[in-house]
Amino acid sequence: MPKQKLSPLPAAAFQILLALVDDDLHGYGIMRHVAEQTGGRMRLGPGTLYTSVRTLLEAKLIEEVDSRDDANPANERRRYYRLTSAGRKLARSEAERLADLLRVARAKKILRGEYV
Amino acid sequence: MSEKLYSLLLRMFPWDFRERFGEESIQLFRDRFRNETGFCSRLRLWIDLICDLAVSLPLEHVRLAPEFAGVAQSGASRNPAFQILREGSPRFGAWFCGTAITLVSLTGLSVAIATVAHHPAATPLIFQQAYSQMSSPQQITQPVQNESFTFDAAERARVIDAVATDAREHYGDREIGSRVADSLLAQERNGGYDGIFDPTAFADLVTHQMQGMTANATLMYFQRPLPLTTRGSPTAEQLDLKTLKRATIVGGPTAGAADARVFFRIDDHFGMRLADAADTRNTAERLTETKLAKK
Repeated sequence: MPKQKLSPLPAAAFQILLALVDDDLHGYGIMRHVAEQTGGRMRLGPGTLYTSVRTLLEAKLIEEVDSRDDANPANERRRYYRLTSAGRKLARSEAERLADLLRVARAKKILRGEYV
Repeated sequence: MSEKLYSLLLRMFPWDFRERFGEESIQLFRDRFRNETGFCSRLRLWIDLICDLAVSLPLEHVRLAPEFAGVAQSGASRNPAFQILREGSPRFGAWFCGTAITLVSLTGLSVAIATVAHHPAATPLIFQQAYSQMSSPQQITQPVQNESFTFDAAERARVIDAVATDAREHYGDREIGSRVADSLLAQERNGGYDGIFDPTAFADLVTHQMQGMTANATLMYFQRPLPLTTRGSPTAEQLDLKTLKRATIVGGPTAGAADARVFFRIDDHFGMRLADAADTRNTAERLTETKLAKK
């Protein structure tokens, strides 16, 4: 089965890695964090989310942790995902790459508003 | 109900995706459905899901298909039409093939639509549509009569006969002109114009029918029928700007001025057909310019 390339890192995959930096999350939690990170611009649907999750799992950038009982009336068991060290390293390098681009853009004075 | 619907949609994903992430996908849907309440939020939820399906479904199936897997892994595909976008930007060959296929498909579709639109079988529908847009013929229920003419069944038949003759003999595309003539005459024979006593409504109906069949918006008949038999150039008084409304050329865009039949509307009940004018259009334009200059 062909593996999806992660170079350059797709936007959805990067956002998922960022969402998992602070804590382990299940699918809905990842979706909520990504929506908050992007100001509502990116709302991951189940298809996009879990195809990205599968790719990240295969690349060992995230790992699945033991299911937990959520504190909700339905007592649903959910799968949680955790960022691996390789995933953290990739997220860092991607963030640094974007920061370099931002530095160049600022030097060329093409940014406006709050990005200046 | 909504969860069942989403479960059905989820069945479109490949089996391995459903096996691994099916339950989680439904759980995600359940969470969003529980938290996003209200009509707008629910509408946005479904729009998101449909868009998500449209994007991720093809990718998952391509991922599963071994023949495409081989193409993706090889990188340099021998068949550019099947290059997977996620693996990289399409090469020039892929763009060329895609553009060529799109153009051929659009051309074929256009030809098919044009053929169907001009097929005689489509004509009745055009008649129905045009007629339904007209003002109700029942508004005038008796033949209009004044000192100039009587707009009755006989007059309608004479108008249709004259317009059909013009269309058949002088329209640029002879085949279409014949088709227009046959359709108008058939409509008249079958009583399609019975009950129309309003000359304006009748003129509008015939205009719409001719435009519908020829796709030529310049083709118009707007006259009351009298005096279709009048010949010769109009007088200056008859072409007074206040009464000069529209002109129609039954001859199509390829017909020369000598072949054109021009109808000028003179007043509410009077029209003139210029059948024998050698330079009808130039005459009309010259007279019109003269009138404008005097103003």
